[in-house]
Amino acid sequence: MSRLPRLAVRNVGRNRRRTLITGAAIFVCVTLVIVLKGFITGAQDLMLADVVEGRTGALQIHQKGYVDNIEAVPTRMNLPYTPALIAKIKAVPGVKGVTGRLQFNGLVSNGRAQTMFIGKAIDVATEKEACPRADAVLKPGGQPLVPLERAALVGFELANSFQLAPGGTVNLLVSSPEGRQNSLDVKVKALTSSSFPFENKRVLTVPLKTAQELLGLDGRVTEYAVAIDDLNRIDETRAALAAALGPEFEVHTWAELQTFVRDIINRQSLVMGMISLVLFVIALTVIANTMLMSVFERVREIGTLLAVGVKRLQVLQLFIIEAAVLGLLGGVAGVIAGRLALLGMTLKGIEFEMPGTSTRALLVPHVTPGYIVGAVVVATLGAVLAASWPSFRASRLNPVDALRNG
Amino acid sequence: MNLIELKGIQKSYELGKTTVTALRGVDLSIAKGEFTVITGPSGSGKTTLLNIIGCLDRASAGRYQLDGQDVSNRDFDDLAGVRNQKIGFIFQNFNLIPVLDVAENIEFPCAVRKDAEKPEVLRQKVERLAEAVGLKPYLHHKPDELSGGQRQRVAIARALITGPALVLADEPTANLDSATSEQIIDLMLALNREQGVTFLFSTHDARVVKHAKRALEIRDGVMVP
Repeated sequence: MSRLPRLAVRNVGRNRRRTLITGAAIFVCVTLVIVLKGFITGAQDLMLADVVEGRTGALQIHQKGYVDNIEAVPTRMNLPYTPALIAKIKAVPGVKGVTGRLQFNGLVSNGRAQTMFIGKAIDVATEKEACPRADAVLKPGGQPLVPLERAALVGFELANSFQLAPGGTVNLLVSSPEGRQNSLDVKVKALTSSSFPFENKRVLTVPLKTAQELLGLDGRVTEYAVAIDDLNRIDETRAALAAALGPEFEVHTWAELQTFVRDIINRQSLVMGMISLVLFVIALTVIANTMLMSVFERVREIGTLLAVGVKRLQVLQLFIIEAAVLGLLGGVAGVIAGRLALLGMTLKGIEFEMPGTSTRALLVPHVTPGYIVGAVVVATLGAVLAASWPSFRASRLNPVDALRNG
Repeated sequence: MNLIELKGIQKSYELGKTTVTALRGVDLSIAKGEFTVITGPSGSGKTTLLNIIGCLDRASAGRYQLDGQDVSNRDFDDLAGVRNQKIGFIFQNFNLIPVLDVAENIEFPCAVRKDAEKPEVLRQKVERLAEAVGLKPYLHHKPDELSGGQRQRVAIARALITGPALVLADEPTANLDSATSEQIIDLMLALNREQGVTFLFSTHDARVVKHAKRALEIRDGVMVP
């Protein structure tokens, strides 16, 4: 086998200062991409956990057509909440936990004023099966809900505007699915704080039994929230659930239900992609410049290579290998530095307050092994791409002119 | 059979809007084992002729046979094997590869072949040649650690490593002092005499010409009878 690759590797160390500058450009770009990706992935995980494990569950089951009318909160489109149906859902491969909920709306009154609220009724006993992080963040002095009491957790901004405090009473006025007006006094157990500002202003959480009584929907729910074993196989589990339940039910993923969260995640990924692209182009420009200078400096040497029988394709390969080695070294150094920079933060996490609330969250920046390998591959292939034109130029030199050079 | 057979070689090239004719119908035969010098003033066509003989350039017209093979119209890359196996080059500026040491420079033409010999076999050949050109103690030196004469010896050894039928030298003593030039010429004469290597080189240097077994002169692109 030809020993040209060895020469290519040696050539990388030929002009050390230039190699260092080029390697440093790749190194800095890859490091930045890894660190940035780590932070964005950490933030997205936090958002995803907040939504999937704290609110929607991974999947939700409704009566067919419910989601198309979701803005109207159609309580008439309800489902039986029975042990048999729960068992049927749990029997589907990939399903980890399930709970029932009732979504409704109405008017809340303190006797002096009233306003609209969005009601969320949860099965206190099973809510955490579907949403393990469903603990509402209670303001000091509050108590959690217990299953059968007529009580409510009230978003703190809604509570403040109605001068409500734990221990107080509010009246809830709703329309049943048949249009009958019902009202019920419930005790305020606690004020809640959420990372979604809307929930602080409008949402009121009650035990499922209370809502069923209020709406005349005994033994019924409007949705099942479902936790699954593996979020990466969400489509597979959704399909299995849909097949098991039949056509009168519809199954949606969290991303379909919380489109704004999905859009935020997509936008973050897009911004990340654009920043990576800019850094990639910067690194590519530096590499292309280095390789071009290298070709100009070595014109006579290229002539000599051609004279002693090296083929044009081998000259091309020589420069391409040089660039690949540069890209590989810079890329590997970059991912190591990026990984080390993330390591300390990954072990401890970064605690911060969720915007608009007093909720503390722990951001754990991290990157997957696949992303690390991908970064090295992109750095190497990018270097090859950047070097392709200078290398082509080198390989097409006229040997007579090249030997006369210098 | 002659090693080199040139018939009516012409070479023209474009220089801006002008066509320059460097060779105007050169006929030349060189037998195996000859030690031939081509002289002539600057611009007479010496280097162009050597480039064509070395398969680095293609004649505009005429026919060129090297070791019985017609190489007149073959593609540059197609001739890479011919340049590698049949021709050795010695350049005025030595043209060594700076990142390689002496041994690696010498073995380079063999090492770039896809079917390169095993490193230990190649290293034995390199050592034999280094000994012949007086460079054995310098095998692991880089070119920038050598004198001009030593660098040219490396270039000679590199030209001989493939066992070529022909060694072309373009003004090999132009960058050397008189004493070193004498040593280099003596070395080439010895290699010609002892190993039967055919040498063809261009020079301005009258001291070199006096050692040649055959001296040819080119002027204005034609051989002077």
